[in-house]
Amino acid sequence: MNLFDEATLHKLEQLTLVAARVRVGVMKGDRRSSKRGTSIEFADYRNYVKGDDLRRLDWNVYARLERSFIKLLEEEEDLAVHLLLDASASMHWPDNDPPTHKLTYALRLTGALGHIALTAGDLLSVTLLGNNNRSWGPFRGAQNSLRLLQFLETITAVGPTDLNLSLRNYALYGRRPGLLFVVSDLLSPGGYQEGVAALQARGYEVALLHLLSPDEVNPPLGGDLKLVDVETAADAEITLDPTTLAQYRERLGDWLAEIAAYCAARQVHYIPITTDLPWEKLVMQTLRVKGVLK
Amino acid sequence: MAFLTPLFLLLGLLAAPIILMYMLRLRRREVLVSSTLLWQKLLRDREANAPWQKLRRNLLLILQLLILAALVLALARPFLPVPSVVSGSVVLLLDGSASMLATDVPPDRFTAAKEEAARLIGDLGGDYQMTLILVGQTPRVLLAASGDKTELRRALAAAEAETAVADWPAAFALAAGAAQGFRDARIVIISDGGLPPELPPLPARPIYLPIGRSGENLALAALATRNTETAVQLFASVANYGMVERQALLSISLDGVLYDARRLRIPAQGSASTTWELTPPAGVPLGVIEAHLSELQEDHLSLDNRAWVVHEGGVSNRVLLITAGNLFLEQVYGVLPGVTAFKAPPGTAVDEEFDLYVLDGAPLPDPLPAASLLIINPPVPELAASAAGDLFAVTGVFSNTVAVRLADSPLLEYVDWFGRINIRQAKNVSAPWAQALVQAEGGPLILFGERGGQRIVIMTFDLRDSDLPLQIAFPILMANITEWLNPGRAFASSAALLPGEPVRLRPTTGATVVAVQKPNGDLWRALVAEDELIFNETIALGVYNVLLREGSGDRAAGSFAVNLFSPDESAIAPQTAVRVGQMVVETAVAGDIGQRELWPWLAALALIILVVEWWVHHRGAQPPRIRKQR
Repeated sequence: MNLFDEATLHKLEQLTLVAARVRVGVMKGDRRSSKRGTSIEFADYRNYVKGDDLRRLDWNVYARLERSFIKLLEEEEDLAVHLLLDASASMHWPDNDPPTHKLTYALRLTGALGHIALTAGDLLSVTLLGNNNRSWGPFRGAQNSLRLLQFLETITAVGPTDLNLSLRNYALYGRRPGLLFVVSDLLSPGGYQEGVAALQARGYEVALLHLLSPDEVNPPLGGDLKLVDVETAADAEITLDPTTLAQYRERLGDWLAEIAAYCAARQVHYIPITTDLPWEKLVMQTLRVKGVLK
Repeated sequence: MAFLTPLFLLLGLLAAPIILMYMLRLRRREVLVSSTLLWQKLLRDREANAPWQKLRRNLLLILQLLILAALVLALARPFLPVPSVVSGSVVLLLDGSASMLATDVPPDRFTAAKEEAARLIGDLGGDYQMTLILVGQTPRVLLAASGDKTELRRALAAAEAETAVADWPAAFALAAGAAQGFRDARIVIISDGGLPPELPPLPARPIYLPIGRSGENLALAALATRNTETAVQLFASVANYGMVERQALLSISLDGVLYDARRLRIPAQGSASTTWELTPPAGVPLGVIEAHLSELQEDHLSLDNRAWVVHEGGVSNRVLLITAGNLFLEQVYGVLPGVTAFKAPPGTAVDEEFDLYVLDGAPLPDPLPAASLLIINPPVPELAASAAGDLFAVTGVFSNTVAVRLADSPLLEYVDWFGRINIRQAKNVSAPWAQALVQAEGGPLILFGERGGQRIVIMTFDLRDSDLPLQIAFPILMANITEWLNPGRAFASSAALLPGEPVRLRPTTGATVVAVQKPNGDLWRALVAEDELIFNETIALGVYNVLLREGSGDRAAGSFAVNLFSPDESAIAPQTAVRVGQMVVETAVAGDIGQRELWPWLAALALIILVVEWWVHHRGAQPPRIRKQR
């Protein structure tokens, strides 16, 4: 599986991930932190209070004004980027239409975001939800891009996932909070809300990249059917007629609206994606419009 | 309810394969989807109308079984026993005579009779047949021995009543023949009862269904003319067939112009008559006389309120006898129909136009009139005027007058000449344009011919020198000659023609086409191939004009009138019983059991359910698309 060509990679290098609420970095990174810090970039002055480090008193100002000011400097930090990829069996869909295959699409998206993060010097870790929770990283540096791609190419979508459980576990055992992408179809019977809440509680800035294939939006089905779930093997007997299909589309719309409302209320980036949208366009345009990339 | 063909019910077993096929069909196809999460949501939402869903799952099956049940039931031909006046096969005699056009039963009796007949058709049992006979002037079999109710109804709908008198004996003969083909036959007579007495017995049980409520009717029973010495007398008789004395206004029109009107009082079950003396201008034919009854209080039959008569067939020729006095001629021309004779002594200056000049031993007028000429005993040449010079020449007399040859001509029709007529002497007349009608040894006795379109007959002897006027042949010969010289009406008919009665048309020689203009203006035409033609399209009441085509132009050849002078038809009082053979047939009551079949309803029901099923099917499901299964 060849996820990217050279030209695409090059284009990706121009991009940077944006974290609205930036995180404390362990290492000096090349992005501004909201914390005032020790770099050489001047930020502001404030009055000296007892206990302030005298090393940061601006003596020049004191000499001129005889008042003690503390010089505040920008702190530059690196960003922890977490990519959580749903690799449950439901992502292996549609199995007969590679261009809109959800897992392939998700891998490309993960690869692109990972490459952008590594190129920007961010700390990247990739974790699979389901499929034994395999993970990659954390790694820093553009030199790891190739390894990332090699890791992604080994991924297959098997087994069930409980999104809530997986996300909660990640929040519990996660390392440095940072910008966290969940790439999933959210088709998990238990839901995803508790997991997202747990991540947010740990200080993660969460972006939900919600993948749906076109035939999930408009099922090309009809007649008396027994629908079998590829992930859970649950079945549903239904007689599909135009009325039922219309009702299905209505339910789907309601569900998407519900997710969007949930995310908006909790400052979660929510990007619904249909896999017939070219992924380059998604990365280059849609994510920039949404403010995830710049 | 019972079935005519119950074996077809076995087709109900077809329900088993339908159910089987449905069960096979309902095995659901398994289709893999990425997740049933959203579908489960949908199913949960639809739990509320689950019963309807279940029903609809089986709705198509139920509908299909219903269609099958309806079709099987229809094939088994169920029927309901209904009380009916008849059972078994039926020969239906539908009275289509003029009295059935009475309007005491709205809209008229014939329509009511057709409704009655339609009811009988509806009650006709499945294994039985019906023969429809319309009893009119000529009874007709509308449909013979058919069990197809649609055909029967169609034939019945096409039937129409005539303005004629029904021929019941002929209808009974037809019915007897039709009934012999049936087992368990009934002969149903739907009529108002105007049946003649002494009808022959029928081979099957007759059933009588009377139509009509009231007998109130005034009718013109007679309208006739005759010549009196001074005028034409018109006689009219009005009959009241009702039970109440009535008054009516009787109007007389001459050629469409009102001439007189009289109020008549007609006693119940009686009649009143009146006469008019009509004095037309001399020589002008009277034309069509129409009598019309109006201001009637209660009169259910309008056909007999109008009558027509044409005096002497509407043709009258003016004949001028130029004679010093000849009793025989004067008498003959006094009685010949269609001829008005005038007399003038020889030498009188004639300033009027006549259709025929009869010159009895008189010199020819100068100039010669352009009309037809009958020259009897032509004057000797020295007495003849110059006009006669190129017409004929008299070369002497001869006494050898035994006839040796008679021409084959209509002029001698019915004339017995040989050995009976004795003539003392005759003049020897030569005329190059004429041929001899009667040739004697000494010369011609009668010459006839056409000269420049003018018809001329010459009798070369003096009537008083022969015993011809004393023979029966004389009036016949004179009538033939006069008719040839001056063709009058071209038909022989009695004064009172009933509708449907044939008229014998006798076109004159030279006529090539006979046409009859019917009262509605239609023309009936026939080429003259024989001496006599029969015209029998006289169903419509009114005046018929006869036209002859001779050479280039058409010539009116008289008129005749067809009137409903029929006491049988005018007496419209419905009868409660009719007499057939020795049997009095009373009004029938619904005593038999008819069969009302239900299959058309069942077939219609099946069709409706089929439409519903189609609709449910198309609304319910798109044709499934096959997906590759993993």
